[in-house]
Amino acid sequence: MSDSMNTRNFIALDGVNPQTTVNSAAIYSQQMLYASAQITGGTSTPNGTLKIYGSNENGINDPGLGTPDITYWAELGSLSATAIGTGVAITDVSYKWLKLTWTNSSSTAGTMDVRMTIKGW
Amino acid sequence: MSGSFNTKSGIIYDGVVVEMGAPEIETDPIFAQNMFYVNASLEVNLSVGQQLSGNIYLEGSNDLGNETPGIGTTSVTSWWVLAYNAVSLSTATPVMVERSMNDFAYRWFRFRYAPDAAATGGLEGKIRYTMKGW
Repeated sequence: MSDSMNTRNFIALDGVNPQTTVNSAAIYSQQMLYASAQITGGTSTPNGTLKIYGSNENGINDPGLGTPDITYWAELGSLSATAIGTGVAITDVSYKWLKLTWTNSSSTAGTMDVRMTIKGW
Repeated sequence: MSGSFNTKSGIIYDGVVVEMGAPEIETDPIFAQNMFYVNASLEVNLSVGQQLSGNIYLEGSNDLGNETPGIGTTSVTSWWVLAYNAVSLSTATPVMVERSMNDFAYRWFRFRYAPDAAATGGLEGKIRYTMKGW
C-alpha cells in the first residue's frame, strides 16, 4: 500500500497443461481495485473456461511470507476461451485474495500461459 | 506512476491511414499499466469520393512486451478486443471517430481500424490518444 499507484503484471499460469483443471496460487490483492487475466501464449489451442475468484479469508497474517491457507472462493469473472489472446477483466475488486481457475473443455495438447495485470494503491 | 494524477496525450499514428488494398491499420502498443481511462481517435479529412467504412477497435493486452516500457522495442502479440463499433462516413468533411473506455485493467492498449469493402484507400489522417491514471 502506498500513496502512489501500485500495479503488477505477472504470469499467473505458466506453461500449464490446459487439458486439466488448473488453479493459480492465491494472489494478495487487498490494495488492488482492478484485475485482468489474459491467455498470452503457449503451444495449445485452448478451449475452456477461465475464471477469476475472490476470497476474504485471512489466509496468512503476513502475505508474501509463507503459503496462505484459503478454502472459500467466490466467482468474480468468467471467460469462455477458444484462442490465445482472449481475456477477462474485473473492476471494483473488494476482496483480499484473487485466484485463477482454468477448466478444460476441449483444448489441444500443449501448454498455456496466462498473464495478469492488477492495479490499485 | 506517481502520487499525483497522471495523464498522457499524443499522436501515435500520423500519415496515410489506409493504402489501397491494405487490410487495416493498428497503432503501436501503448503502455497503460498505470492508467484507468483510455481513449483513441482517428481523424481524417475526407475528400469527395472517399469513405471511412468498417470497424474501429480498442484492444488490450497483458503481454509483458518489455520489462522497461519506453526503452527498446516492444513486442506484443496477444490482443483482446475490449470495445468496438462500426463506422461509415462519406461526407467530404473533416471527421473523427473514437473509442473510449474506463476501468482499463490491462497493461497495453492499441487502436485498430479495419476497413470493409466499401472503404476507400489513400486516406490521410492521424490517430491520437489520451489516457488518465496515476
